[in-house]
Amino acid sequence: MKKLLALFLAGAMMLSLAACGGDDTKETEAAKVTAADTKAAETKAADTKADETKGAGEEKPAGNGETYKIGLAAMLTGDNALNGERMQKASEMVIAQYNEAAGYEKFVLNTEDDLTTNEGALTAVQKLISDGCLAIIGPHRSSAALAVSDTVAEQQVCVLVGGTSVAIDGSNNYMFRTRASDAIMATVAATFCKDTLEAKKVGILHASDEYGQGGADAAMAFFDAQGIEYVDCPHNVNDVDFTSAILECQSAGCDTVFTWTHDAETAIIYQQLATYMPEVNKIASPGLTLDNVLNLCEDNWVDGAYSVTDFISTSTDTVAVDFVKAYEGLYGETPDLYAAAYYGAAVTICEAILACEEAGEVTPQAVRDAIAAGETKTLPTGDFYNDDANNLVHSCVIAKLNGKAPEFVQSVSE
Amino acid sequence: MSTMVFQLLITGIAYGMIYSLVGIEYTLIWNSSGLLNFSHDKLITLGAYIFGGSMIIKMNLDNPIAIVLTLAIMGVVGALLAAGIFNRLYSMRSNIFAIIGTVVLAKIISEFIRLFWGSGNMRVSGWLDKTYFIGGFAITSANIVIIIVAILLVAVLEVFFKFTKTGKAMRCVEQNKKAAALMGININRSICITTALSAMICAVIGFLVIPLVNISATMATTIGLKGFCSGVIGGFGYIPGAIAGGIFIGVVENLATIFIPAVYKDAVSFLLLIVFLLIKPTGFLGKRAQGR
Amino acid sequence: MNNMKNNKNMKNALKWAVVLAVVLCLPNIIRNDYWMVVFVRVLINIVLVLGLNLITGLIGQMNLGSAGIYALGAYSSALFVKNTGLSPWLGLLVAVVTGIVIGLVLGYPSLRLKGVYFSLTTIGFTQVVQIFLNNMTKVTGGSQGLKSIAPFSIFGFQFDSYIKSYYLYVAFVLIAIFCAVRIVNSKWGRLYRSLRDNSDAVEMSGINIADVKVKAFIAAAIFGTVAGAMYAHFYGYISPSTYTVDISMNFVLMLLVGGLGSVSGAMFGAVIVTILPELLRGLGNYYLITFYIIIFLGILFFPNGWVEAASRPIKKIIAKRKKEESASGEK
Repeated sequence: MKKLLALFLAGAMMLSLAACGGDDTKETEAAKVTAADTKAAETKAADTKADETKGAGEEKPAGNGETYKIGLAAMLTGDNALNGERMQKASEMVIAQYNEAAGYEKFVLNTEDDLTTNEGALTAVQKLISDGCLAIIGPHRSSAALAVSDTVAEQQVCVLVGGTSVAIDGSNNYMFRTRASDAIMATVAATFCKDTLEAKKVGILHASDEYGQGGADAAMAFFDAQGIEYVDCPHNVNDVDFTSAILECQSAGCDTVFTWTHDAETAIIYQQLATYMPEVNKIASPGLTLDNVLNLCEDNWVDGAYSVTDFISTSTDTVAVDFVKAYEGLYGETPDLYAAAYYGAAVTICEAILACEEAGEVTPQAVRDAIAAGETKTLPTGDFYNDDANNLVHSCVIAKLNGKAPEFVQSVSE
Repeated sequence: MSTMVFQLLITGIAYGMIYSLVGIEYTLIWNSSGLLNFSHDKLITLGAYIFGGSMIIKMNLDNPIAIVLTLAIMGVVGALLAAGIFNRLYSMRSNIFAIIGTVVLAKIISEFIRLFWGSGNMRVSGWLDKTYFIGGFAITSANIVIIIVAILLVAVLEVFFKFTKTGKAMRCVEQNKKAAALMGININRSICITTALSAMICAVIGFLVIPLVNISATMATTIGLKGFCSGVIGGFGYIPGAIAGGIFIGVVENLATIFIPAVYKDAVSFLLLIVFLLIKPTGFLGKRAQGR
Repeated sequence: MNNMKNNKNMKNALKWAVVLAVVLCLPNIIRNDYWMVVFVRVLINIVLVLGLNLITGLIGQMNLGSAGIYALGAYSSALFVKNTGLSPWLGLLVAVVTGIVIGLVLGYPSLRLKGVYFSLTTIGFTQVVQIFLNNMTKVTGGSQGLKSIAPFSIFGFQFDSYIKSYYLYVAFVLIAIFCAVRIVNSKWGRLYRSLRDNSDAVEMSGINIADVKVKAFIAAAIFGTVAGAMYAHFYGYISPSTYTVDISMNFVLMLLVGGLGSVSGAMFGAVIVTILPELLRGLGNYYLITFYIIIFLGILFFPNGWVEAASRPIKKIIAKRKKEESASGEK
């Protein structure tokens, strides 16, 4: 019995020693492997580069060749799934169009859910990069975009984000913005308040998250510079009662109400404005032109209100009209500004890949460079070209609601 | 100024009534089974979707028929939940299972809602959305209906618990499960009835908040949490306490916005919650202070 | 008897050695950045859940404030490093101090509050933390969050890639496991379990419950804030929208899936709840509901955790065989 025990003990000791020893060697090995890994990765990347170039060069004349993966990281589950759905539909539509033109499945869309969290966004984007996507559409939210910012720069795969926050400052060369920034849109809205609505005192109702705060900050900076008085009324996301904010604006004697917030909140604010301040001038963030918001409103709540937005489906611009027609034909519903914005993003990526193919080198880096250097394209949300701050879109639209129908008032470029 | 105070008071009372109803709805389940139902906000949402999304918008039914049908469906849903899930959860060794069980249930319900009704928001046009002006004050029909329905509901529950056999049996279970079982009361059946009742109250809350918050996946999240606060502040596990606590929170958080930025409005409720838990965990009407 | 115990110990050591070997080799086997991100998430979650296990698993107090603790850990370390420009290791120290403070603050109410009251307080705590992080823009950067948070480094060697962070965090987790095992198997751990089962009896035997509980909370909060700091220095970006009651619930979920009260259970749960949704991604639109249904059925039918559920039949067979052996031996 004792012998057995001794044997066990010795065995256990040896094992633990082996485990410890294993630790050390493995740790150092790991360090080595890391170095080797990056090298391997580099050579691998070079290989695929060579492959792809070869493929593109050889097979193109035959009319059948490489397939290219494009990633989409979107909010497909959770509370903002509608947004993700529109992103997905618009991207799929573009891919289908380009595949039809190529005559085969040239482009493949890999879609991943970002769970509406920052970790989820990083995981989704990393999965898309690891799966070999050349460029990625999304994530949509600004904080998610910021969360993936370092990663995409490190791995040199570009993302086309819809985050409009001013915190996305263009310092990352692998992050392009496909919507006009909050600062631009909110300043346009504020300018409109001053010039057209002739506001003397403005009530600013905005969400306290990065979206609402970014817009409100820009507007307040403008009003400060112009000497226009304003009342700052922030609210938390998912708030459902804005009575106190509206009463504050009312008692301060505001003649204009400027709202910069999310869809559900916008609808409730407009409902409560109709009750307490029916005569006030109103201008809102892009959300007000969305069907998702207008479906929650009565005609008279929103009638006469203005909105600064990326895109309205009633636009008479030929590119926009074609886009709306194609989208309606495919899905039986009217595209909203998200669909339009990400349609533009998908087209930009496909064009960039085609340009790379032409030049004989299709790598994520080449695609990024092609997007950065791409020619100006006219898309539903305006002219797409890259500027110093990696913004692709430079204009927005002011719409006036006639009943619930958004009507084009003017287009404003940077 | 006084106009504003009065206006905020009305809104506060209306919201307070909603919090009270939420307080009642989960206190019923708590009392009968010791289960804190964290899926209650999703049951409210589910009720609103069944009523607004299916009955009114899709099937175009008349309001009274839609209300009755939704109540019936939610009652059945509640009974099924109790029979299949809650009865199992409450008998587990730790209340952690019960809480997390209902949390996961909430996730399942909300994903189901997304898959079934889609992810867009909805509104029921013409449902309690009139506004009356009385001497410069705006009062919405929703606020009036909320206050009336809440009072009626409390009265009906009172009668039910005091004068019907089932209600009396439920009160017995609440006070002492063992004794109730010995007296021949079927505890599982009692939990089923309570849960069904609670789910129906959830549906009523759903009807009432539609004109205030519209129908969306997150419509009841804040209301649900504030409902918990109202229970604690008034007296946990004690229905009159939940009512008083709800109205108290509704009024205080609304009036507080006169003095502090509105973004801290929610923080007021939760700070009140913490303060009450630390200083007077029985709440201001509380009789008992047992946490399970 | 002695022999049996040794046997068990050795088996345990063997088990841990195999797990460790697999963990160390993993990056070399998988070689995929996406999975590395997922694994680092798992490691961070393990540290937090090990802490949560002390409060929720051992004492049986349901803490739904993990998100608040996690947030304060992340923000304290990140803000310290950003404002002073000093090493993240000092930031980690600041996070530990924050943990001690939170432990004292949360520990105090727990002396008086039981069960659901405690859970509600912790929910309130998380909500208040989030609202303040969001709106105290000047200090916390508000809703735009903090970006470019420096990664850990030792003598100029930066842990800036996934694989490097992975190995560093494996070391963190090993230390965390060591501490957790020591606590669980110590006099304290036994005391905690007896508190869960019958706190009155413990009190009557003359032990100062208050003191013991506050210690548990401090330990747990330190685990939580360290996990927060690990998060901040790995992702390099934090924002208040991450720290919701939802993720607090998720952490408790990890604990339940693994089995309340055991260190290996806590780790297993963190692994399953983080990785399973990733594995189910292929189901597209239905993947999340599938995940939750699986977890839900798990809670209903395997309330002692999946580890126990899986090992029960094996244990039965072993017990049966032993019985037979001893029976035949007697003959």
